Order: sequence, then structure tokens, then C-alpha cells
Amino acid sequence: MKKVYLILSVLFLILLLTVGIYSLLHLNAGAAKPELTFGSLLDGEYSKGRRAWYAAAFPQSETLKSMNKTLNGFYNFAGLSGEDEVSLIVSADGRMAQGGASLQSDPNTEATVSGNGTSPTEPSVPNNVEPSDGLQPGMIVEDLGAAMLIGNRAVEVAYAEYGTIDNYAAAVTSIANALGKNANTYSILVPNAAEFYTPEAYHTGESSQIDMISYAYGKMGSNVKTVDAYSKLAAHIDEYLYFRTDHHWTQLGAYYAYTAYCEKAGLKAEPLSAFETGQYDVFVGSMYNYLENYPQAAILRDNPDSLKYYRPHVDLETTVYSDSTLTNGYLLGTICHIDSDVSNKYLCFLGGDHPITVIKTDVNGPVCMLIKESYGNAFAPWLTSHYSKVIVVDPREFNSNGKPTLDIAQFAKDQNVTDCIILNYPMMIGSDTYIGHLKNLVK
Amino acid sequence: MEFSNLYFLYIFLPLTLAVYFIIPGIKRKNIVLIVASLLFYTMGQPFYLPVLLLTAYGNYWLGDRIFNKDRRTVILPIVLNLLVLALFKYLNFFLGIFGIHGADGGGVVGLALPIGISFYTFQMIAYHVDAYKGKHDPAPSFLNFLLYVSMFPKILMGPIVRYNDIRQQLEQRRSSPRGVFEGGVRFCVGLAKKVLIADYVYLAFEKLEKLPYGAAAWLSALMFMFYIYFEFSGCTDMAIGLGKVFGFRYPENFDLPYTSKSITDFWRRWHITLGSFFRDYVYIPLGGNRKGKARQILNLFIVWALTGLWHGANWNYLIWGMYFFLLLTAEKQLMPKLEKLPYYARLLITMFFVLIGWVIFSHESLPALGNSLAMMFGKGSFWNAQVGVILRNSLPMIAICLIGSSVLPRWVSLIWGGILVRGRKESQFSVQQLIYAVSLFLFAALLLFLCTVSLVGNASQPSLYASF
Repeated sequence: MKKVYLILSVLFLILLLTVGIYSLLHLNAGAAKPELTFGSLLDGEYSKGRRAWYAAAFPQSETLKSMNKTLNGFYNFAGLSGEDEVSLIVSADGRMAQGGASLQSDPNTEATVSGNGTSPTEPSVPNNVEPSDGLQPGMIVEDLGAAMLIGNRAVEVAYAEYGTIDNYAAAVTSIANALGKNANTYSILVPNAAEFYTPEAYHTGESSQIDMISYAYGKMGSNVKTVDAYSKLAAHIDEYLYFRTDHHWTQLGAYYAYTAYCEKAGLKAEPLSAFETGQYDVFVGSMYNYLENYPQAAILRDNPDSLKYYRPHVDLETTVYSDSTLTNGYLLGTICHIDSDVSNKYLCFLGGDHPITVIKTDVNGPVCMLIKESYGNAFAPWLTSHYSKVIVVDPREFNSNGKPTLDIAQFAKDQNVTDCIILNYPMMIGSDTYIGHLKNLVK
Repeated sequence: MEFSNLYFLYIFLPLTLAVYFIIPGIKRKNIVLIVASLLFYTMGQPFYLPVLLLTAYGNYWLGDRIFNKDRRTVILPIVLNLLVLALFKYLNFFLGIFGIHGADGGGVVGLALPIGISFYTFQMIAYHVDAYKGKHDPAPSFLNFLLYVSMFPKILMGPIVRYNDIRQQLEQRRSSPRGVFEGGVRFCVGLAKKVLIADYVYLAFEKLEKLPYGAAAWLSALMFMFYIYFEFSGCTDMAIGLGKVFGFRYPENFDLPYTSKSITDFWRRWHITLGSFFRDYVYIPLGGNRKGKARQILNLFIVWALTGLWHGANWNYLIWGMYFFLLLTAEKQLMPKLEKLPYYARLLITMFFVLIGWVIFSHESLPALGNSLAMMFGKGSFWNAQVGVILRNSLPMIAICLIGSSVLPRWVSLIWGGILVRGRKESQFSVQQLIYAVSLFLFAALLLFLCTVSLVGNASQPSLYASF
């Protein structure tokens, strides 16, 4: 028997060696290698990065990941859930790697967008259903709470931590204080799909977004004008306000928030009929990306979203800048279009997130500044009918981790901003990280 | 570097094994193991390799030069080892008690914890004490001592191996084919416990601990209870299995702790090498139970305070240690009554207290700990539909955890081995033994394949005990 044990042991070693050698010869060249620095070498980060790179470059990874779905399905048993019942809840913070795309993208690289200043071509509909690469380089996805699959819709569920919401309200008030009498400060807090399209338990109590929004508004200073976008959205929930496979709202959803803003700001909202529209019929978004490693999420892929955009009817020149000096920008062709080969259709709006986007219009009007995360991207185009310039600022791109500095009060003064809108959705008002970014805008 | 990553499994480990078994002679094999171990450590925390080498050399030198001349000087290496541990692990904690903090409110000393320091420091203390007691002579060479301290299978998460237990194996050992084979299988079982169970359970724990409901607090506590068992015992299985492949016999660290019928029983079955370390090197030298009841209680208090603090420089670990001190002290009084209860009643009572212990252990923030306990015992809403979905999602996982931590796998293993191997000599061929060996081979290969699938798809969680 000794020989049998010896043979089996040697066989096992040969198996390990064979896989090891094969893996080294067939590594996936696309995986990013870690950068070697003296510091990273010393603290072990380089070595850790090499191991992560090896895992990412492991051959046959697509096949293995596909098999991994079965494992994940087993460990996240859907049971006998009915068609419209919640079938899966997945923790959704940065650690939830689960084989899907990581939610942490590199904020230092630029988004892939067409920026040659030419007129947009009418989008074509792709032939194949292709999941979005929702995490485009340059796109920052917000902190998520819990990702939940209900029927053929995936949503993020927010949880109220009122102490954190206090901080959010304080951060908004501090921006209003910093801007002083030079500009009006508006706060627009909008619910996400979980508020309207989930069973009661998921949007009441600690997850009630109307309560979170009302609480936040109540805590803001009197110099902040709060906008009731919630009621407008709630009145139209039978319309296509939110994507089912993506965590964002549609541009139609953003339109109803815009009408609420107009009422508060004393503007006359443009009717929908005033805009030329276009549509991408097949869009499978960030929530699918996040859950794709669970077999239950196939229902999202099989029931893709469509994305309808409303193109501004004023003449525009849109420039993206990496810092507040507004130098070395590049032109965006349009703010409502994306090449058809880019599968994340939400990038259609402003080409995704950028530090600063300046939209100059031919409107003879004041200057507006929109401080936002990605929910603001579908909202910004609506503002172009009323302002000579709409400046879109992403607070996550400033004042931390070696990123450029931005003194929001000085910047607003320099740009003659008269209206400042701070627009967020519930996952942000409960995010300490995002609130930190907002606070850092005030010097 | 941890065991549960593809680079270790398919590059580091097979290369080390191939070189180790190809090179002849125990001395050369030892050199291979030392080089592999230092490389292994360097790949995890290169910055602290000098700390490992210096403390290893310092301990060897003290044992060799000073101890040989005067045995009473044994106190010196013990104090020095504790000072090293205190510097890296406890200085900030103790300064914090006196209100001394760094500029950012954190620790004054910005030192990360060298991985495995709690394990290898204790091994070195045991080395000196055992030599003082005459159980063994000082290590014959620095390489011999360095191999004992740095052996990569056990350096990160133990078990705490005493020099006396492997002294002979360091100099002369034979890896029998069956030992190598069974060691490899044990490694794969440990890997599966870590990757296929603990990592998934941790994700469920993370989901649940965020939910502000009583049921979620209970379920997350249960998930943590399973997570820490499969995580730590899986890593121990990998260590013992790899040790066996190289011809070492490391002591067992777990003996089905979640089948315990009392808290005393639990601590005989959980992290056995740590418990026996504190028994032999703290409790008994302090007098154990030989100096009266009051002194025994004081000794237990000291042991459990140290046990708590060994796990981390934080108040919750100290509270956790004190919690078990109180439970064990109370249990000693109540034992006659408890022993009359049926096994399953005793099991449930024990597991209830163990679970509460894990709640304390898993919350480094005391307000969060208080909140969790309050939710478990009535604060706020108990049930929520989300908890129901997560519970349903987790049912197969819970079933696997319950079965995996029960006596069932051991029974299956014993019955399977008993039918096919018992009474048959390894030197003689038999069909039954062949079936046994091939079945184990296929089982291990299947586990390795599933772990590979999971490691490609999911990032494995860092091991909790590697940070102690």
C-alpha cells in the first residue's frame, strides 16, 4: 500500500504543479499588474497585489466564474419565492467582491466617452444582450447598502442612521453658509426605486426614505431651500422612473424632480414635448453587474432595461475639467448620447462622472452650480433651458487622497453662481464618506 | 501570505514540496523549509521579517549563552519576549487607558502588528520555560531554532507548538507515504472549511450585522459563531496537514467544540494549544488550585484576563475573557446540578453562553456591542422581512454549518476508515485500502477544485486569527 499512497501523493503534487505551470503560461494578459514602489514592496502591498493579479489573470477564469455562480446560488438559496417576491439580498459594500465587477473603480482614469465635439449620431440598437460594464473607468459608484432582487428588479435598500443624516444636513448647511447671500442653495433629496417598488417592509421603518428625506430637510438651516421632489415622483410611479437593472433613475424620473425644482426656484418647467428624444433599447445596468455572480440575477439579464433620453433643445458647449482652475478641459460632443458599443447606457448622461463639467448654453440667464453624485447626471440636462451656464461638480473628486483642491465658495464666486443645487439620493445621505466629501468643499 | 489564495496553492506550495522532496538529507530539507518559511513570511509582511529574525536569534542566543550558564536567568528571555509583544500589540492600548493618544486620536505608536507574533512569541516563552524545567536542552543550532519558530505551516495561526514536542522531528523525521497523503487530504479539508464555508458565512454575517432587528442580531451572532469555528479550525487543519506532509506532528487545536456539554468542556475543545499554554505556563506556576479557593479564583482571573488580551488589545477582548472567567467560576459551583441535565439541554445551555461570548468578541466598539446585545434581548423591532429573506437565502449554509460542526463528519470518517483500513497493515496491499485511498484522493481533488472555483470568483476573507 505504501506504493499506492506514494503514487497518489505524487499524483497530487503533479496536479498542483501542472495547474501552476499551465496558469503561468496562460495568464490573462488583460489583468492589471500592481505598481512596484519601495513603500509597497516593504509593507507587503506589492506582494499582495501580485497575488491578486495572479488570481485575476488565472486562466479559464470566465469558465470558473460561471461555475462559481452555481456555488453562490447554493449559498444564497432563493427557495420557492414567487415571481414578485424578494429572492436574494446581498450585502453591498466594497468587500462584496463575489466574483462580479468590483465596485471600487479607479477614479483617476478618464471615462471612455466621445469627446470630439461632433454632432451625435442616432444610437443604434445592439444585436446582443450585453451586460453593461457599469463600472467604467472614471465612474465612481456610490457606497451601497444592501442589494436586493425582487422579481425582475434589483434595488438598493437604504437604512437610516439619523446621526449620519444630521451630519449630511450640517454639511449642506455649511455650503449654504459659505456661499452666503451670493447664491441660493437648494437641496434636492430624491428617493430611489426601493421606496416605490418593494414590499412595505423594505421602505418603512428604518428603510423609509420619505422619513429620511423629511428628517434631513428638517435639520437643514433656514438658508437652504428644500425641494419636494418626492411628491412629484410618487405621483408618477406607474411611469418608467427607475431602471430595474441599474441603481439610477431614468431621465424621466429626473424630469419630475426638475419640475419640483422649478416650482421652488420660480422657473417655468419645460414640457417634455419640447425635447427631442432617442432610445437605447437594451441596457443591463449596475445592479445586474453587481449581482451577476448569483444565478438568480439571470432574470435581470433576460429582462433588460431601455434608456430614453431627452436632448436639450438649446445650443450647448460642454467641457470636462479635472480641477477647479478650468484649464486643459476637453469637449464632450453632447450630454445625452453614448456610443452604442458602450454597454453602460447611463453614461449617456454627461458621459458619466467627472470632477467638473461646464455646460455653456445660448440662454441669456444666470449661472447654476449642481453638486451631485451620479444621480445628478440625468438631472443636469434639464437645467440647460434656464441657465447660461450649468456647472456640475462631483465633490468626491476633490480635497482628499491627493486629489485637487476646491474651495466651493471661492469657486462659486469666481463663476458668478447664483443658484447652487445639491442633489443626492438616500444612499448618499447615509454615507459618511460622501458627507466627508461635501464637508471638505468648504474651506 | 495566507493559504487560501491561488498563488500559494499552485505556485508556492507545489514548488516548495517539489524542492523539499527532491533534495536529499534532513539538513538540506530543513534549509529548504527555512527558506520557504522566510519567503512565505516575506510575502505577507516583508517589513517585519527582521523582527522575526532578530527575536528568533535573540531567543536562541539567550537560551544558548546565558541559560546554559545559569538557569535562574530564565526570567530574562520571558520578560524580553513579553516586552516585544507589548511594544507591538499593547503599547497603544495601555497608553490609551491613561488618556495618551496620537494626534489623530488613534495610537501613539504607528506600528502594525507583525503577523503571527502572538503565536511565535508564546512558542519562544514555552521554549525557555520548558528548558528551565529540564524538559529539553537548548536548541543545538540557530537554524534548528529558526526552523522551529518560523515553519510556514504554523507561523500565522498556530497551533502553538512546543519545542519539546517536535525537538526530535527537527533533527530526524520521516515522511511516510501514508502520512504525506493524509496530510495533503487534511490540508484540502481545512482549505474547504475556510474557503467553501467560512468565507461564505462571513458574507452572511456582514449582511445581518447591519440590520437593526433583534432576529438579525441573533442570526448574525450565529453566523459569526460558525464563521470563527470554520475559519480557525480550517486554518489549523491546513497547518496540521502541511506539517504532516513535511513529517511533523503538530498538536490538535480543536475537538468538536460545538458539541461541548459545559463551558469547561468547551475550553478543553477550543484552541486547545492556547488553553494548555495558559494552564502550564501561567495557571499552574501561580499555584493553580493548590493554594486554596480564593487563590484559585485569583489565578483563574489572571488566566482569563490574559486569554482575553491575547486575542487583541481592546476592551471587548478583556470583557470576553472576564465573561468566561465568571462563567467558569459559576459553573464550578453549579456543576453537580448541571450534570443531572440531559446532554442536549446542557449542549444548548453551553452554546447559548458561547454564542453570547462571540457577540462580545466580534464587537470591538463597545457601544455597538451594547446595541447588539440590547437588540438581542428586546430593544427595537425583532423581525423584519429582510431578515426572513436572508435567513431563507442562508438555509443551505446553516445546514452545512450545523452538520460540519457536529460529530457527524467524524463518524463518517471513522466508519469509512474503520470499514476499509482498520486491522490492515500499510505495508500490505488490499483492495479495501485501495478504495479508501482513492476515495480520499478524489474527495480532496474535488474540494481543491471547488476551492479554486470559489477563489477565482470570490476574494477570500483575511483570516481573523492571523491578526492576533
